[in-house]
Amino acid sequence: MSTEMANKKTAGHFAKWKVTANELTKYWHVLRKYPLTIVGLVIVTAFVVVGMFAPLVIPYPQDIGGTVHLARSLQPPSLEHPFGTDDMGRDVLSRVLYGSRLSLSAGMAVVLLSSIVGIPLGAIAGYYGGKVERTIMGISDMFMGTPHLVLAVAIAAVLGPSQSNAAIALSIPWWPSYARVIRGHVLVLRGLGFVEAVKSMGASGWYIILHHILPNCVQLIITQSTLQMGSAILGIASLAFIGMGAQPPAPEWGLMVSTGRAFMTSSWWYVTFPGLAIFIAVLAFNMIGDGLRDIFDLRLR
Amino acid sequence: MLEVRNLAKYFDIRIGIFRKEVVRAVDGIGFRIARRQVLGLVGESGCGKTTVGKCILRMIEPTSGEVCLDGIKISQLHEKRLKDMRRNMQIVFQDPSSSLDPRMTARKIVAEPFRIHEEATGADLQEKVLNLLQNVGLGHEHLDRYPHQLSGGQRQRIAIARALALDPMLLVLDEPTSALDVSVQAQILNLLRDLQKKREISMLLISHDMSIIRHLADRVAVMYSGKIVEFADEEELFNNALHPYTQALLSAIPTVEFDSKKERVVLRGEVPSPIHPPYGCRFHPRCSQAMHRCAREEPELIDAGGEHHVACFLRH
Amino acid sequence: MQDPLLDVRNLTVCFLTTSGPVAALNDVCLGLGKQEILGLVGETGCGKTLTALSILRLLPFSARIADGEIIFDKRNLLVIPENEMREIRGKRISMIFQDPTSSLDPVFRIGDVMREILQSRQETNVREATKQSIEMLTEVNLPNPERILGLYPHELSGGMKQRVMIAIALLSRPELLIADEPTTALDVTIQAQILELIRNLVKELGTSVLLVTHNFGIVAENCERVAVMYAGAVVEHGKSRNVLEKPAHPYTKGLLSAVPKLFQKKEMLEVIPGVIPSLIDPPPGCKFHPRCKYAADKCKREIPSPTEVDDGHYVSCFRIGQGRP
Repeated sequence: MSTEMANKKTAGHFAKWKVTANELTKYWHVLRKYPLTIVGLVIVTAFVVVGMFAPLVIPYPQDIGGTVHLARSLQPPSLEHPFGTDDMGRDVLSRVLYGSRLSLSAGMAVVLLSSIVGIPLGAIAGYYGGKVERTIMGISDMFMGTPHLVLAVAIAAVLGPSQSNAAIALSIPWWPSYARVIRGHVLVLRGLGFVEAVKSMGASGWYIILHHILPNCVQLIITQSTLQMGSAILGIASLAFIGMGAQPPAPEWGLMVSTGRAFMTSSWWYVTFPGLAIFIAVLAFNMIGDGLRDIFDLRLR
Repeated sequence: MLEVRNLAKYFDIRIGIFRKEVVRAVDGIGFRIARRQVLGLVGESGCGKTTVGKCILRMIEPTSGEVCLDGIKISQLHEKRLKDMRRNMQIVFQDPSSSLDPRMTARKIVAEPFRIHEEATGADLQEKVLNLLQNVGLGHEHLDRYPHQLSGGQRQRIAIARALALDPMLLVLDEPTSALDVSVQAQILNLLRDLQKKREISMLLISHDMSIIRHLADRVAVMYSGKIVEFADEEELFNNALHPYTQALLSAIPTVEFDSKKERVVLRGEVPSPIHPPYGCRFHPRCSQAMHRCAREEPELIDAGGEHHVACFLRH
Repeated sequence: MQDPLLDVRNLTVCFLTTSGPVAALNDVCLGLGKQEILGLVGETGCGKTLTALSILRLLPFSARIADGEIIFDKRNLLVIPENEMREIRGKRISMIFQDPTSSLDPVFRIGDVMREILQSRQETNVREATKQSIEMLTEVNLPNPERILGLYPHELSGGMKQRVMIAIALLSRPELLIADEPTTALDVTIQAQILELIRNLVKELGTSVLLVTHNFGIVAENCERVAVMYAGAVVEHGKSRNVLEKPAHPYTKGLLSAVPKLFQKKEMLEVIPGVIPSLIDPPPGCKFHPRCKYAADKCKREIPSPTEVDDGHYVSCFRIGQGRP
């Protein structure tokens, strides 16, 4: 190939990067209009960072597990223990910070499991229609007809109480909401000309779903997942709260709230800080999800 | 080269819980398109012309009838052979905004037919893609643009480039310029004319706009309520329309040509329902020249001389 | 024109956008006489619908009227108070739109809609309102008007719905009917019926019509006079016959050559190079100059004002009568 063509090719490649840089600045301009989303992103990033580097960050790493310092038990917030101590004398701040690792990873697991099941099923249902769609939607309707937490509790009871079992138990009633949302979007996409066009070229159903339908669902999946994370974290905490999730001495937020109930009137810090952590985490994810939904909507138009 | 015989497509629809009705979208039509010929299929909404296009490409399954492309009966092919056959017939849709995947660049869109049929890869593929884009009047600067970064006319050009990628024998165009502005429409029409001559491709041009049919087609078929009512060479049809519907259609089209000898024939009544088409000749309720016979029997398409076919008792 | 029914003078409308105010209409001037059909023609984005909406002050939220007057019955419609404007909307000036389906509320029967309009305007009882409604439906050539009163919009065809819209628009015998692409969504044969109806109503009821369309053929067959718009300004106007047979503005000429003709087949259609300019970053001077083969230096700097080239035929161009370059 001549040098001229080679030069044009490299110029083309660099042009691609320039285009991406331009696009990123455009994203930033759009994001700037959604201050709440930025706040949410900051908070979530903070949780993620803390979760990842927990053992290095927290002041009392040994308090995560089952250590007991009865001498220090139930002390109110102070300089040494900004969040106070719990009934075993463990530093609440350290446990809350470490808890973000547990909660976020469990939340992600739930979201991942339910989307791995829900998204393909939803796409197939939406694309093929007919009996396939009716069967899949029928099954998902069955799940949606039952209160999620009740079902999750029942499943967790069968599996045995533990964090991972709680995650599994929560994903089972949850995949239908993914399936529904994806199916709805796929129905819209199916009506758009380009699916017909590719079909007329001879593409098979799988090809179309993989290369055309799913890539056009990415924005929807991202938004849904973000919103679901909030509910997932809450769900995990709820299961732990009633004893169906993480077991003591794990520093799981829901579990801490549950144990702290007994000391609520005398040692308010025991329930409050883990509870606040749950609240803020869920809120942050919801803020991101809401903002993303609006942003993607505008861009689509 | 393309032969359609007795094509019919009926849809079942449900009205209420217990009633089922049959929509006769296409009710027994046939025609031939020779190599390098452009057939214009014209009619108003609901006449079934789009359904004909889709049946030919087997995007929907015909209820009955045969479609033969180059001697091979398309209507009866199985999956694998059908996929192969699809390279020979392609379609360009009306709305360029929705017929292109918004997440793919022009490059990927035009390369896709090659990928699906595993025809070319790598540098060879890129060269072919660039060639196709240049053939439709675009350049390498458009390769990496997304549909939303291009104008309506440019998008339609990409759709045309994609359709021509595998060098099909037959190109079906379903209202290719309806969604475009007048000045852009002219560009696309010129392009189509050019391409058709250079590539010697056969085209089925489906439209409700007689003037673009006039501009591109060699032969014209007029559809009404699922049937072909008139079929003739383009010049012959426009100068000597025999069927009352065609005459009304031609006179209804508003033109700027002030001194044309156009009779004003304003049609009364509504387009007939495809569920309960009128008995006898489907056009007779609106026809100013209807006779008793028209309400009782359906006229067949007969040759009125010089390859000019009409389905009307007035010409029997 | 002497004693026009509607006189639009120097209408300038801006949109407020995140990049600042954007001019969508620039110094638009139109005159509509009594019992006349004026065609307003142009491609998408030229501002014809916006002009029509301005007359009734139905502009979208982000639009602002920056300058100009619209004189109707010796008053400037742009400055009169809202309650007086309401007396004019629907009663003295009516409007019908392109898609009759979205203009009719699907949960109300036709009769309910029409009776409600009549009863809210005058003190009539149900019987009188029904009678007037049936009269109007008969006027628009709808068969079985009594039956139609009891139908819902989805039970009517497109052509019938548009006739109902015309009937509703004419209930108070307005002096001016604005029709914004009334037949674009309809089949050709139905379009012919509707246009014939409009022509007859002009003769019988004495209503004037502002017919907005992108189709020159419709203008040629239905409008006595026409105004051609491009990028927010009127570039040429006059008697239809003059403008369409002897177009003086390069844009009009180009557009007319680009339309495939029914009775004369041309080998290749002439094409206007380039694209419609963006409103946010418009070209200086005459907005058509980047696409005009006669463009001179002056065209790039100044905006031309209308000059009369023939009886009542005005063109906004510096290059008329100056020969080809």
